[in-house]
Amino acid sequence: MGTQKPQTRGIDSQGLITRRTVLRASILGAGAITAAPLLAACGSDSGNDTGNSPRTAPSLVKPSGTVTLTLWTWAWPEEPLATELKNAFEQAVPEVKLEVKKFPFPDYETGLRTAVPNGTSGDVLHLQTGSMIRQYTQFLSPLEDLAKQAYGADWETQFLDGSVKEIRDSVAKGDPLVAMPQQSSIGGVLWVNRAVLAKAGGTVPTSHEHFVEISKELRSQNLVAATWGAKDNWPNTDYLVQFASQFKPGIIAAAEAGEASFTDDAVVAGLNYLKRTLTDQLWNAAPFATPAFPDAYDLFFNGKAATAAIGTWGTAALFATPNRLTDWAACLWPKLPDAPQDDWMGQSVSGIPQASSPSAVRPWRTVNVATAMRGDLTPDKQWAAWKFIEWSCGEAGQKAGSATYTPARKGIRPDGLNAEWQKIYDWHNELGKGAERREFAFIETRKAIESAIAAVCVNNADPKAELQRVDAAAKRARA
Amino acid sequence: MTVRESAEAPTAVTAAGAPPRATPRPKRRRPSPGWLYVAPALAVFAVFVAYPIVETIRSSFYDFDGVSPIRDWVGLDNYTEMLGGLDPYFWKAVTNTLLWTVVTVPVQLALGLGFAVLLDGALRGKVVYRAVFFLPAVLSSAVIAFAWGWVFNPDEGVATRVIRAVGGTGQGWLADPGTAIWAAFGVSAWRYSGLFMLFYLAAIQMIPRDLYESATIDGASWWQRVRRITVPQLRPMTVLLTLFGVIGAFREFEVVYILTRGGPAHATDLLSIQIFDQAFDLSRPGYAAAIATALLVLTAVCAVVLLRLMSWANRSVQ
Repeated sequence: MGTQKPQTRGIDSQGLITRRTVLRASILGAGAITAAPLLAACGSDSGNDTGNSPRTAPSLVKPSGTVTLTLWTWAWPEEPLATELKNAFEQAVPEVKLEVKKFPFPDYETGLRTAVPNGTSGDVLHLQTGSMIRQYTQFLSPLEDLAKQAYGADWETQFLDGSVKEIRDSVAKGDPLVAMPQQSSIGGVLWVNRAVLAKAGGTVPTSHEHFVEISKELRSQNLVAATWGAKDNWPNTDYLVQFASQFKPGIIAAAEAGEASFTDDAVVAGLNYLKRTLTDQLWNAAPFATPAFPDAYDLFFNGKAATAAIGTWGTAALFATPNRLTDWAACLWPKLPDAPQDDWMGQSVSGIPQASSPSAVRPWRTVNVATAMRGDLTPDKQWAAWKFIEWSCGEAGQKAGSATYTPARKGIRPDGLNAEWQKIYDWHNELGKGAERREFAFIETRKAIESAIAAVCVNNADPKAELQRVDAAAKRARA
Repeated sequence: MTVRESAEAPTAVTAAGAPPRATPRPKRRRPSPGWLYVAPALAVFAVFVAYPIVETIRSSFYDFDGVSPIRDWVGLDNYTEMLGGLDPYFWKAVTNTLLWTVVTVPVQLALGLGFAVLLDGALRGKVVYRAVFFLPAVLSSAVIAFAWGWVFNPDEGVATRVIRAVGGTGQGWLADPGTAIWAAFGVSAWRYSGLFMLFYLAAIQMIPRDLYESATIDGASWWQRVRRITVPQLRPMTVLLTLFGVIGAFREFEVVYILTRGGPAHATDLLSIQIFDQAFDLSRPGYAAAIATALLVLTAVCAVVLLRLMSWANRSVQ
């Protein structure tokens, strides 16, 4: 009988790893690899367990030579306008060479998350108001004093109403202003394709019932009354903010701040109305399976829909084809059934031949691009960064950029509008005085509202029960 | 106690009183060369798989936003929120993930086996068929999701047109919570059946031909040969593919995310989508880590069960 070599578990008599061990290791490895990519994404964090780093006030030093400044953005125009805008800035401030790194928005959000805390992001950043600014406040430089020096003591009034306040509201109480309004929009205004609307009478909807009639008529011709890309979620909260405000202005913002409840009758009524628009078939087929871009808006852009909720943020689309300036007009969503009379518009009239209905739905406003600079820059870079912000948000920069975006400064219109659209554009900005705040301070609140809207509109869930969840989410976010 | 007893044993004297013969010193075992061979792979595994897992489990006990350097220790709070019903969508995602696994894996196996059996025979143009069936497996997830997004498009989609052509009303396949997940199941089955077919085809080639010849001489029909020879002989491959399928189902993300983003109303939410949403949309990596840990546990349990099944399948064929 031969002696048997003692075997280590998993090793065979020749000292090789057994098949079983390899198999076992492979399967466990495969299991781990399944989870690893998902896990790795949330396991890493760049921070340590320390507190916030102190933010120092900017100390600007004009460079002796040329400084290269990097801008990170998702909102920079396409070529050739991109180069034109860059050149305009470099001519205005020859000491600075501008490098622009443009991202698709989702990548931008992800990129900022690691780059800003690590100090590897661009020197100047484009940010959205609300939760995005709040998230990065501690890494940004205070700008209030610089703005006063550059634009004068009344600088805040030089921007569209509510623009600066919206940025102030984006940060926690006591935190300084860390971004300047560069682009500002009035949204939630129905833009109208006159040719399509003509196939259903040619008059803009003056009541919900009228809107339903228009829709019925257009559907019979394989056209659509209004477009909604609910799959993207952001249009959904926009509509709810607008509709709820008809029953109680400012209710959503108040509820997010904890000064009211999301289960307030006004929010419930707004949500119920949103669901009713689906039941009454005002929209394209299956909005919850349709992304806003490109699908839903393409229906409007391609002449298959009579209206789409756009606003000044869509001004660039006016110039995409020459006939749009004459084909398109604008109006407001008509008064909601059961909503109280509210003459918030005063004497403002719509830009189209027929006036919108009395007590029409308020639009929303947003600073869609705010410009900020990192707080850890060297003094010469701080100088360069501020020069870029000062120029971008000043009259010259706003005018230079107005070909592609909607300026946040008062009195500056995009070039190329015809006389009627100049009137319509100004009308939008007039409406801003009564517009609702669009952005949310906390992303948790927004996501909870998105879930509530989908649950009510798609699953016929009880609005009140769903909105209670929003209350809970908002409370957690505030805490 | 046990330790002391065993330690004293070598010093015991023999019955005759003579000191015991010194036992030969065991040869120093040389390190197995096998481990040296796998050491580089193990090092990579440790850095890129083991460490992230440990770090993720650690992170699941913290609350942080992934941006601020502040991390608050919250103990089991994330798990309490997740398992205690405070997160209304976690259990929905668990249910959907399990449903995804239970539905798609058997369908992929059945279709893969069916295609393999059919294309193993003397079929004209079978090379073309094989390529066509296998093609979806090599396409990128984004391409597949966009392509099927168009198929299910509520206005112009092929699926919608087909339904209209046969007299139905256009259906928003992805807009209805009742149909959205089944539409996504269909895409998954379509995508991976060809890959499974390829594995099965390879395994069928390994089945001894004399088994079929004997069965044919004994008068077995084609169907009887498939049922009595092919299917049992393919058992180990079936278990292996089940393992691949389950792992694939737990990892499923891109196609569903692009097709439905977990909607409508969370109808197609999977655990992977929840992890992404919590980590990147809601900036709650700690909570996302807790969900990822739950997914890891689920995967590990399945891996152990399948490991046992694989041993059984191997034995049953031998």
